[in-house]
Amino acid sequence: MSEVIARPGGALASRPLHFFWVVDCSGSMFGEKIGVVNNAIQSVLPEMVDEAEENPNAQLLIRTLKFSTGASWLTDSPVKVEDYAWEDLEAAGVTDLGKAFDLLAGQLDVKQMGERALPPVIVLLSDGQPTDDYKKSLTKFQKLPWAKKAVKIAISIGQDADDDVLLEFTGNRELVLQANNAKMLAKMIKWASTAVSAVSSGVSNNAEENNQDDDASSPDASGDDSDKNDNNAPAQPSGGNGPLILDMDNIPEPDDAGDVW
Amino acid sequence: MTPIIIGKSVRGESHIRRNTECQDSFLIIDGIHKHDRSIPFYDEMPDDVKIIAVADGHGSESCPYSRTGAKTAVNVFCDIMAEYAAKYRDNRDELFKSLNREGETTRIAKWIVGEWGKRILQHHKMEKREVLFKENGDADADAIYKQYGSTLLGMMITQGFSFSFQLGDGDITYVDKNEVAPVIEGDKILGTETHSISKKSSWKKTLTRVISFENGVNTPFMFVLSTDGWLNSHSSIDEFNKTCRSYFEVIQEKGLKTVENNLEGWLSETSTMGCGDDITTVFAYFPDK
Repeated sequence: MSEVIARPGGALASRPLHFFWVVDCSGSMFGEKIGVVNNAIQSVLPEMVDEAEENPNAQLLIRTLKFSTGASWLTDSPVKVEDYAWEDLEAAGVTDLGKAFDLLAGQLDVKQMGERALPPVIVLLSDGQPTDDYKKSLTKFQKLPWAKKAVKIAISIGQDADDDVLLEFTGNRELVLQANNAKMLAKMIKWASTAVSAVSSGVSNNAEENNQDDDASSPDASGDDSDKNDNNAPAQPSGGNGPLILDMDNIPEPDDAGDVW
Repeated sequence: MTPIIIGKSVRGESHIRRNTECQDSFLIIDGIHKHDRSIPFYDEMPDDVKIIAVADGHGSESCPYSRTGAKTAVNVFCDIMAEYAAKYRDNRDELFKSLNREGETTRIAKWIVGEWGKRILQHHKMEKREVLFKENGDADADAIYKQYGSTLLGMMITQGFSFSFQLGDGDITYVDKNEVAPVIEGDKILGTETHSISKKSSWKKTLTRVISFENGVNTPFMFVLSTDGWLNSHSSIDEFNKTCRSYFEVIQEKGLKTVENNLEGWLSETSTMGCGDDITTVFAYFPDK
């Protein structure tokens, strides 16, 4: 009979999945818009907890960044989703989106995030046009390795939102979601919060490969090296934790019926 | 300088939850097992040469046959390195020198990637699986390879040196009583992506290293080859290194057989409490002289 001994070794942990809400709290969000944001995020939190419980091998961590005249984090550090308590936001001031990108960049630094996290999810909500010089900050943010890996979604609130700026952030027009009334805003927040966290943590059955490698080439028995300039060949999804493609079919259809912002 | 080698693969916790198979594979070729592969040059391979390979199939929906891809990758590595060792069986100095030449290791990398592709196509055809076509109507071999995507770690150990090979994620780690260190420092990719043997250009992403034993080594020591599920289940690199050291100490204290008997349970527990991925570890332990 062989001796059974306890597992030797260091501390184990699930992989962190950082989820960021980045919320425009400028004056134009005052009233119904910020009210819907507050209610929708508060009500979606239990569903995010459920999604997280479906995958105990990923630890969903939440953090919220508000921006108006300046930008600031609501909590000092990321908070486990089950411990996260939404704090109602108020709207006033201008739209310093660049400052929000600066703070995001600080958080997405590899030294801050570590190397073993799952790709982060960033949901940006805005109804207006940046009032600061956001481009420089966005460029700096986009150069970060974790920013490149992040799932980036924007919710464009109302008809005055600058979709071109939001597109610059997401890099994908399909991920600039239109919310022109209260009902759609609530729907989009719910979709972005639950579908995206599920896909990123690998519990979605609809997950498909993050197909960045359309030009991928394959092995050849001859060992042909005709593609020797392909030094930046993108990588393949690694096993086990699921790739990061969203199921675009599940994005709620825009519905402008009723009051339009 | 003869190592004792043990290894184990376990199905990851998240794979169990989703009812998907283990996508990892490993193969150990030593004096006992070399005749298991009925390929002539294994008989010509010197008895002191040991070969280890570990592969991690990608496991995503677009890679439904990655378990086969991983199994093929470990077979290809061992077959090619056995053939290579057989070729130099009477000239060990030349074997050592050739594996230190960049041009030669590039040739080996191309050989491995190419041979993998050849076997995958044969397998795909044999299984009568669907042949995919490009828009111009030609058969799309690239799309077939992609369905079998895998990483590959490998090591050949002789009396005088070790040769390590890495394509994609995973870890090859050196452990002795004073040190835990990566044998190959790979270009780690953040998130959930890795380089893959399924790409024609992947030979350019391979990393190799030769470690000579001639100038004295601190026995006992060990090499550990592990899929990324092992490292990713630890809260930090320091904790991973602590685990490597602890395993080394348990091997010294209780013996490899005890570790081998407990390994499956330890790795399953690690996956459950960690990242949930499949885990494979292979230990090549060099006892005290």
